[in-house]
Amino acid sequence: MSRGFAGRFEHVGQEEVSPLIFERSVPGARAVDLPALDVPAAKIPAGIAAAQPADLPQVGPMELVRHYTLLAARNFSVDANFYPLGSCTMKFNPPVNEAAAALPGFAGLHPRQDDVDVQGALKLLYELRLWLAEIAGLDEVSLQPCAGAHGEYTALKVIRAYFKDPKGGNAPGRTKVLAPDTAHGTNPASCAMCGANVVTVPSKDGRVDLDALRGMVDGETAAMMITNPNTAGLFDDTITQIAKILHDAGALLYLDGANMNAIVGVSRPGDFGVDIMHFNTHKTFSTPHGCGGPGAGPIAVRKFLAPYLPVPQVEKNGAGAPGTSGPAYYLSYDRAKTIGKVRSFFGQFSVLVRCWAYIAACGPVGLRDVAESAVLSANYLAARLRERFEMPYFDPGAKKFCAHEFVTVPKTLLATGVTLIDVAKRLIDHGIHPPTMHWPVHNCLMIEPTETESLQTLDRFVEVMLNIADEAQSNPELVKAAPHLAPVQRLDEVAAARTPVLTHGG
Amino acid sequence: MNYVQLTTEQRQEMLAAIGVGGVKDLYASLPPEYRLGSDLKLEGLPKGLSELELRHALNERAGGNNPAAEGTGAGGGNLCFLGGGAYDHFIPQAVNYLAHQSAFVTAYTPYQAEASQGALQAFFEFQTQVTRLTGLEVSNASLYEGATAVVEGVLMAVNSTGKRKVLVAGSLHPDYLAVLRTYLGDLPVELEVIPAEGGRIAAKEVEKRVASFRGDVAAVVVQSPNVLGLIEDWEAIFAAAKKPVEGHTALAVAVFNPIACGLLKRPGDCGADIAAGDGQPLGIPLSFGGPYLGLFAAKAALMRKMPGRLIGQTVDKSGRRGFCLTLQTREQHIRGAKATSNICTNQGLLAMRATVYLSAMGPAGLREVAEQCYHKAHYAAEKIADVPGYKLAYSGAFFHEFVVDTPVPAQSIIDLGRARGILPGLDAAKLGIGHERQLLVAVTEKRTAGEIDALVELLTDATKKK
Ligand SMILES: Cc1ncc(COP(=O)(O)O)c(C=O)c1O
Repeated sequence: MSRGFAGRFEHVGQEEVSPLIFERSVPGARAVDLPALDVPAAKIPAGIAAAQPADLPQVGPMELVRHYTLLAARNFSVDANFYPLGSCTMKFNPPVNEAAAALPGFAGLHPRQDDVDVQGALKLLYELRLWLAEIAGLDEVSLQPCAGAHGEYTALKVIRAYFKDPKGGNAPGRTKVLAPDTAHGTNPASCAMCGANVVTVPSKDGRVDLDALRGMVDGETAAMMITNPNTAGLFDDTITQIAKILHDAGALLYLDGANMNAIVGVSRPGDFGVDIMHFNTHKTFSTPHGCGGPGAGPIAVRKFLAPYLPVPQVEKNGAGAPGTSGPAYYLSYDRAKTIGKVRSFFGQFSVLVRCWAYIAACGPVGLRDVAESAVLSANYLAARLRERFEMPYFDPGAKKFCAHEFVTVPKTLLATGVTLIDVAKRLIDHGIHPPTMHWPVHNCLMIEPTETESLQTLDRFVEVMLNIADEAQSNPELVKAAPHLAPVQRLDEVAAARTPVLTHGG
Repeated sequence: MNYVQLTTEQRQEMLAAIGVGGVKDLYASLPPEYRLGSDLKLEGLPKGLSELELRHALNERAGGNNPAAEGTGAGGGNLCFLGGGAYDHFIPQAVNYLAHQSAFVTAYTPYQAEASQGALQAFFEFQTQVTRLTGLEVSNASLYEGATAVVEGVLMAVNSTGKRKVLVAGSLHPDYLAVLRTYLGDLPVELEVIPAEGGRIAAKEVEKRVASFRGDVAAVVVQSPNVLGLIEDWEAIFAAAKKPVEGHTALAVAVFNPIACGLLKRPGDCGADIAAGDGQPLGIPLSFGGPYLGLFAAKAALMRKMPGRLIGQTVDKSGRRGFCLTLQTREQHIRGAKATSNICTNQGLLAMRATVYLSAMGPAGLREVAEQCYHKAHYAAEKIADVPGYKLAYSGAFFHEFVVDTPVPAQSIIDLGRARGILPGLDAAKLGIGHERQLLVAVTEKRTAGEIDALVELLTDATKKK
């Protein structure tokens, strides 16, 4: 086993319990100061002030830095660890994009400044709007949604508004939305949030069961939400038929773009029948995940859906057209049929700056290579692992390949009594973040290497996985007791849920 | 540069291991007619940029702006008196330095507890801080931003009471109200706005309206300080809102500003059941409106109805304290359409910033920030009211923001300010909270007496130039 792999936990004292910031607190300590008040103090009327200050921790500057530095050391991250978390596209996050987002010309902009003061920002947003439309193969983009789920919600509202519009879809009774049984949980949850009735479509061999679908589409169907490449890591080649079934019935096709990393620059959703979709910039376009966020979930739509997009939209004045005055770029609230606002202000701006920077660095050819390299890396891992990790949908001999990720249901390994959790925790010992587990099907690992890992890292992952498969045979107890090298081992999640402690001292 | 590091030779080696001749073969299930025949046509981007070119292009776009504030740094920028839901507060360098460690920036949601104790513990600290700020009992690991946090609060109230009417103070930020209207639009829930007479809503009016709905009110939503900067009487309003009607008690939703919680009575002190707000003032740069931070807290009885991720404390197999995601059966990945919310990706890194900010400030620091905001805003208000032609539009207690009636269009003052590097406030008409001869002025702890005097001089000169 190669030693010294970056990001292992060997350096974190295992017997030591990490104190909470509240436990480092000393009355009177303080980490920052302010200039003295240089205006006369105003009267604070009796009755408006709190009886005492909020009970926050009191720590000095050294203690503050040490505390959060040590916490960081207790975290895996893409910078330090291979992170093949399926469906999450944990690719490299370019440092240059972080610097870009922090430029005072971006980070210092107040969202309510006049358009003339923010021309550079609006230009960037306008360019990104056009780029994403082209990548989607659709007509117009809204950059507003905060994340994938928020994009789904916004798009479903757009679809609903379209069908409610007598001059649009004119079918207010279409309130049913279909989603495959492999759909991400956000799909049905987003439907529920806009009052749509979600119906689950069964799958067959990892793809949508077309016969079942035909029987389910009716005059109440507004749309089907589909993830393609799907959550089993396959490009569903029945997509044309799916689109046709829906379109023939007057319904729309929605694409959950979480898996765009497999096809960006290679194939455009608009070209395979999609009417409306969302992107996850924090997957496909390298904006960092930040321990859970922020993301951004821009949506792209066909022209007939554009009137319903949320406001504001970033627009450009007719370039130099006579009679146009005012700044070149502006935020427009002028959209008579808009669904309205879905969040305050404009959007996840600094995330969008990073997204712009990523696309600008890649360019058209680079983007295609991103997808192809992601697919190559995933198929390479699958090919090297399939001897020991059974894969229901991967068989190069039969020309069955995966997209940018693949699913394994490792029956032989599981027959030893070792569970997927055990495998996951054993990976942590090796400084590797575990893959997604038990999704989209039970007892599976979903592995997504992304395109930015080196061949050495991929090979090392194979070596570690094979090693764990060996251990499961020869020394299952070792695997079951993992992780051995982690700051904590096997937390009691049942107890956590039974008697929830969600705050310190609470 | 697309950040792919596989060499041509390595790609060949990989293809050989798979047993195919080229990458195209791997797209066997992609029907050829869907394969893009040409390169993407990206406007103004014929090819990818090198890092140096990229930095030039970004600098050019950043340079095309006239930033209100200095972002995450110190010095430079304009004098910013803009508020309206986003504020120019001091951001200690420790916030940038600690929250932006790559182990936090480049990690995913902490699903694997053993590999994510750093994030989990920080968010547990965050939840604790938010409950202490709001005076409530439970909080989550963040929501998107202020407006959607208010939406989640209202939906939680609707779902937990089973009632269908929502009363919202007319003094709520108009963007928040607009977002609430979007979300309630296709649901069987009715929204009614309680007008704010004289800038504030009256407890009596609230009581009357709650009574008129005969026990069908899920929530009463009141922001304080409200969009005009005025402090609402939460205690009286929530007491009125929560008078039982036909055996049912509505839930009180407080829309709060976390800096104000350093000084003013907190939602929990005033009878709120749910508190929602935007955490941007807690060490988050203005960044043209996002990403910001949805803050959310509630009474313990509502714990199992909470939206978003929750971090819980537990022990590991040797009894050591640790943290994990908990009560996940509320969430979309388990519960699908029956989940308490659709949120998945949240605002982790912004919650991290807020956590470090609150730890850096501590109780005394946060109080000082809030007090300085209060004193400086009052100093500014008094000075401005002394300028002939200007007066405060509303009377009564305010925090760090206030509306002034101006003798000239607010826009003309804003335009004059641009030349002097002063952003004097927001045009009340454009914000949808007043008319075009009104300016909404926000004063944070960052502004000095001299800067406030410069604002007053600008306002004085604006009347002369007319
Ligand atoms: C297939 C799929 N759909 C939707 C989502 C939700 O996206 P987000 O987390 O950005 O809200 C995810 C992300 O985890 C996903 O993998």
